[in-house]
Amino acid sequence: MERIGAERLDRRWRRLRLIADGSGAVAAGIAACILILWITRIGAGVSDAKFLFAMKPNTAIGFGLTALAFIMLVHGRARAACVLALPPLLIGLLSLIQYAARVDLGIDQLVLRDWSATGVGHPGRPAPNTAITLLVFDTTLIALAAIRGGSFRPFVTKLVAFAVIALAMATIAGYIAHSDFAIGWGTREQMSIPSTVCALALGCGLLAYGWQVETAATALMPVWIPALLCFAVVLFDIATPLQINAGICYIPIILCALWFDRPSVAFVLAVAASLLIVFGLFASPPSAVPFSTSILNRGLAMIGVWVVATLVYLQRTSQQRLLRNARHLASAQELASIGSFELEFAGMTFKASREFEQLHGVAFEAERDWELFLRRFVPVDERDGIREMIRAAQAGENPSDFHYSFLHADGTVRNAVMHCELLHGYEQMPMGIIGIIKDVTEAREAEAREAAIGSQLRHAQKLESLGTLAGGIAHDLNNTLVPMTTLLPVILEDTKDPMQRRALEITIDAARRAKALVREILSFSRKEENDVEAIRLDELAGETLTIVRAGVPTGIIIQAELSPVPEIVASKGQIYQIILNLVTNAAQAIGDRRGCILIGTRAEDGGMIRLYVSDDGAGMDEETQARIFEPFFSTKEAGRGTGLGLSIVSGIVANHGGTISVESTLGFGTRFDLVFPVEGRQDNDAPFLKQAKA
Amino acid sequence: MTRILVIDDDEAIRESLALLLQLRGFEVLTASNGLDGVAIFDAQRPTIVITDMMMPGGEGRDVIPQIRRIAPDARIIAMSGSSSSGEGGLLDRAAELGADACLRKPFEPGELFVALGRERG
Repeated sequence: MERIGAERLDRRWRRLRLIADGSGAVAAGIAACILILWITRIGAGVSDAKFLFAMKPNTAIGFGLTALAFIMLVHGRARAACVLALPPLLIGLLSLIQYAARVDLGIDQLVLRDWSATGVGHPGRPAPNTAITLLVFDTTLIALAAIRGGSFRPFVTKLVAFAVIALAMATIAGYIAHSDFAIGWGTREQMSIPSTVCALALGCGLLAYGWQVETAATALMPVWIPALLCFAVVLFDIATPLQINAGICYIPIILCALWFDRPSVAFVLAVAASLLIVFGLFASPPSAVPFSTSILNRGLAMIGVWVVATLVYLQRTSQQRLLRNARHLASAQELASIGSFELEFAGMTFKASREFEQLHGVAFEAERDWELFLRRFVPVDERDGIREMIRAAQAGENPSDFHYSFLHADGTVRNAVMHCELLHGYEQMPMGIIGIIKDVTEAREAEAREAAIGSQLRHAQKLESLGTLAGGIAHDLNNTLVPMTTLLPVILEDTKDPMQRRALEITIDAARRAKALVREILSFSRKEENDVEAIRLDELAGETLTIVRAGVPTGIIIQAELSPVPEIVASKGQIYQIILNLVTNAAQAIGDRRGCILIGTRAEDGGMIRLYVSDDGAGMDEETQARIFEPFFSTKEAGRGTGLGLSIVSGIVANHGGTISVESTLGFGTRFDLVFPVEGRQDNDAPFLKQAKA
Repeated sequence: MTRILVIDDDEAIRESLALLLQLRGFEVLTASNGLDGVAIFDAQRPTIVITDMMMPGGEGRDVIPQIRRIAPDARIIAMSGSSSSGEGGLLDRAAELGADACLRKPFEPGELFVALGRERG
């Protein structure tokens, strides 16, 4: 079902209205001309020229009023339409009664009282088909004018327009086939050419009106399709003299229901056909065939009509259900971003749903080669995994969920998850798989982000609890150390024995180391004064390097790539501590060998500043890399490090709203990347800086 | 002989400081909490008080002003084992309260004697 855009709808509406108006005007014009001819009797002498002048007076009145009523309806004048449509309706109805009952109700002489000169049986009476046309058309007009709204409009107008056009086309066919019984059901009354043109015009007009009142184009059918099919009706008239199988000729009409979106149209047409079959029985001329045979024939025809109608109805119902299901499935897939496919093992070809195509960004042909698909859309290293899964499925193993990545037509690599099920054929033979794929790229990214946040949070929590613990321990340790640091030096002064002096010196040294260690732990738990100021990382790094160089072995070259960067708001002391720590670590990683430390700054897109420190030292394995920011994790020999350096660094970086990452290859070196936002953040609630309640 | 009062809840610290100071010729009084400390100070009037900042029963921050009130010219040295600086640092607080010198535990004899100033035993 296609929703038509407002502008297009408007254009379409105007065009259709023009067609409706034009059709009404044509019919009204023809009827008026004929009526004038009759009244002035100009044509009385030439009435044999039936192509020009065989339209009966009553027919002319009927079509004229009908056309006017139609124009009123098109222009929204409902009451006028009703009033104008009523007389032609009565003309049609009474004429039909006269034919069926073989009586004369006197309406034929409405206009023309003296018909002796016309040479036809009932010079005033419309032909049967004309009468039907008028009856049906005007009933419809009244219904459309009287009943406002309702979904029946497009449906009914289309149906009636179809019937009217069908009758008119059948008449034309009758003329072409030179059937004297064309649309006369065996009587001598024939639908004239002018009547046929009027009926056609009004039918087309009604069709246009029907489409005009539709907002959504449902089962639009081109005008020529029903018209063409209705030639079939002529068979009835051609067959009539034989009185055999006449009714069967109506069966094709039922097939026209295939073009209506309501399945029940089949039954509507079946009712119409049944009525016509019965009507034909009485209206047809007497023949040699016994009446009982005729009844039998027509009864069979009616059964045929209803059987076909039922089949058509069932076909249309299931077709519509399928259409609805397909639409439902497509919408559901689109809403869920889940594509589906079906792979057949026999030819290794697959069919894909529309959403499957959407996910890959291309449209596939109906049958697509699976191997080509893999080569085009799946990265090399993932193809084997999928092939393996398919091979297992071919061997009868039910495939498990499968994660893989594919190349989208726009060039991006996307993550997908495939969920398949085996399709079994004869004797449980695996015939293929049906599967769905879901693009999980965004979900994956969100998961990764969440995991990163979670790990940062755990890290921060760990630091916080350690800080609290360390603060408490440090206080007690400091007290415990006092006797050693105060008394041992005094004893040392008074000790002369070298051995004892050495022993005391070692003990004093150990106490000092313990003191330094406690200081470091305390600095970890302590909230330093955060005198933040605007600093430039390149300048600060430059200053720091002059100090650091002195402490680095001469075999190590320190190279600076300090491009000017915007200022950030940060604690100078803390940033200094970071650089010092990273450079010291780098120097220790190089050790006594010759090596190079590179320190650099760079302004990056998005208001970020990168500070990096790399070395060509020993490097780290992945296990070590994963743990270096953990407190108390150290690779240095006991006594050389507390394992707090990098965790303090990461704490400071986080406190400045930045991020730290490490890249390292064992044997080739390590690189630390610190990224700070220019809009520096001083988060005073950062957990690892909370003061221990010592 | 200069008389020094050492106030600390930790016995080891009290005794080691007493030993060290006695070795250097000072006369040493000790108290294990702030209340006792102030009482002893009031009774004996030592020249110098070395007090811990964090003790049960009268903390250093109560001791310092009380002693100042009793003897405005007494030399008060505060010591603490927790962090020295930063917001709410106890030693900063001690300096604000009127301590003449601050010692961060653990300290060495040299630091202590610098804090004691020119006083000799």
